Amino acid sequence: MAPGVTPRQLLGIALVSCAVAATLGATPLASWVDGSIAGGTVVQQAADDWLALTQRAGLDRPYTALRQAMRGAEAAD
Amino acid sequence: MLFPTLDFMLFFIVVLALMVPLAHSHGLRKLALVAASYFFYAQWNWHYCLLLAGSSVLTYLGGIGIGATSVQRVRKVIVGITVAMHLLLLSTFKYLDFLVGSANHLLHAAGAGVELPFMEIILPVGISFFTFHGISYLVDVYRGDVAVCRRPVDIFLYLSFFPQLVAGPIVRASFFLPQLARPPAERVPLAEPVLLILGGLFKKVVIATYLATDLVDPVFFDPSRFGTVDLVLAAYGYAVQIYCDFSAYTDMAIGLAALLGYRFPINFNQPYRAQSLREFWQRWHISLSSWLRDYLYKPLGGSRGSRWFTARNLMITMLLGGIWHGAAWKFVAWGGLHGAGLVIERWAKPWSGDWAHTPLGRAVAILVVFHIVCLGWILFRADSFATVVVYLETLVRNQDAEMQATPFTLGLIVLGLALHAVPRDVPGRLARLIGDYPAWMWGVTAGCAITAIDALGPEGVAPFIYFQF
Repeated sequence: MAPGVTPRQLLGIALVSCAVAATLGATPLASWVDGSIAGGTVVQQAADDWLALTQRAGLDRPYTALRQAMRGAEAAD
Repeated sequence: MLFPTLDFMLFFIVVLALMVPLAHSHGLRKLALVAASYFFYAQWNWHYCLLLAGSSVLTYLGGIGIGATSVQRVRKVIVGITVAMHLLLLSTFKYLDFLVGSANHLLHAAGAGVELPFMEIILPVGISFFTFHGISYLVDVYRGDVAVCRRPVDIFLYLSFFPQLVAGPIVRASFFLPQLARPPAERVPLAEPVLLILGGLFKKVVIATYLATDLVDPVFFDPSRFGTVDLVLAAYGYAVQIYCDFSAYTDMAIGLAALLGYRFPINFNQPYRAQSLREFWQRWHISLSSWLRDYLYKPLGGSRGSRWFTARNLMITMLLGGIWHGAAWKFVAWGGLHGAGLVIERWAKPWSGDWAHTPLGRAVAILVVFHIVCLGWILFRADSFATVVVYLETLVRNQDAEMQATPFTLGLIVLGLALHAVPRDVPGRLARLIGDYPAWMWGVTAGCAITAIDALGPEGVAPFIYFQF
């Protein structure tokens, strides 16, 4: 059995994974928030601002590239 | 609240946060998990939380009642009444409008000018699953396979635990309740559950969703527009889609439960490599097929009688197993097809000969069983019998038509079958290989993987197929 983690470590890991997903996946985050129970004007605005910030830093590029590659494969028939 | 959504991610983080201060308060921890599970269930329709609670109270009191007496006749009456009440709840919420509709068809055919009113009941998500949990507990207590549970919170958690609440796996009381009786381990496994969750996300978000939108849904919507190749590939595609959809849910459920310190049984074991229908049911939705075997087929007499008696029991079990999947005659027919196949298989076994055990014989058996299963999936997926007839007629007609299937969808079918061929112990072996990975790196890796899976998948995620059951 692989070594385990404590509940506190697990929470930390989950928060890190969310932070990474929110940074690299800011593009879908804004639309996720829109339909989410966490949605609301303030949260939505924050998600949109966050997306603009990550786009300026170029952090959205891997997501966009992967998405375009998949769409290209889907359409190339 | 679907697993692959932001809502669920936030919900699960709150649950993990709750578990930190409650790590050493076993009772409060279970109470918090019950509250979280009811919150999770309320996201569909909070009214049905009352139904879930009622089902749990019935289960708890039934168990106490059975345990309160040693008089076998009284125990039998109590288990009979409580199981009947569970089935009555299930029938009312799931099958009443179906029965009304069927009665109206008969009345119309008989020329009667009356029509029974529909109750228009919205099906409570997961009712088939928590009902079967309740019945499993009551029958196991009656049989003496599990001790009477005197802690209501354990029964409430057993029926409502959110990873398995809406689409299983059906966890036996004898498997789960002992886990609730003792405090969970201080450290939970990480690598294997995370691999299961990420693998499940990929299967659902990428393979199942693309196959549905790009191939299966359009073809099944109007099969008369398509040629034989598309119809064959759509049947294969649905076989892969439903496997990737349902096994993904199960993988995620097992992974989520493991992160909270609980074990679930496996539910799939490479079903499409079965060499017989009997073996298929030992590999597909294992928790349901073993439930039907132990609580229906065996009590009916199983195979302890003449071959006609066994055939009757097999047919009853599979017909009821079929209608368990949904209130429609097509599911009955699907169950009937599998039941008939199981009977024929049993009768033909003495004539199968040594050839069946050669590599070629085994390969032929796998192919034959896979195609029978695909035929069943056409019944299962089609909107109506009329669509099934059109589908099969068009399939054999071999008409010219524009192709719906593409190299992309064909690739997804191949990829889905390749993932299906991965032995079920691979996530565990991988976990042992990379178990020393630093904990924070798991967070980074999981975040990257979630983002990549979302980028690879189409917009939006459809509900899991088994939610409707």
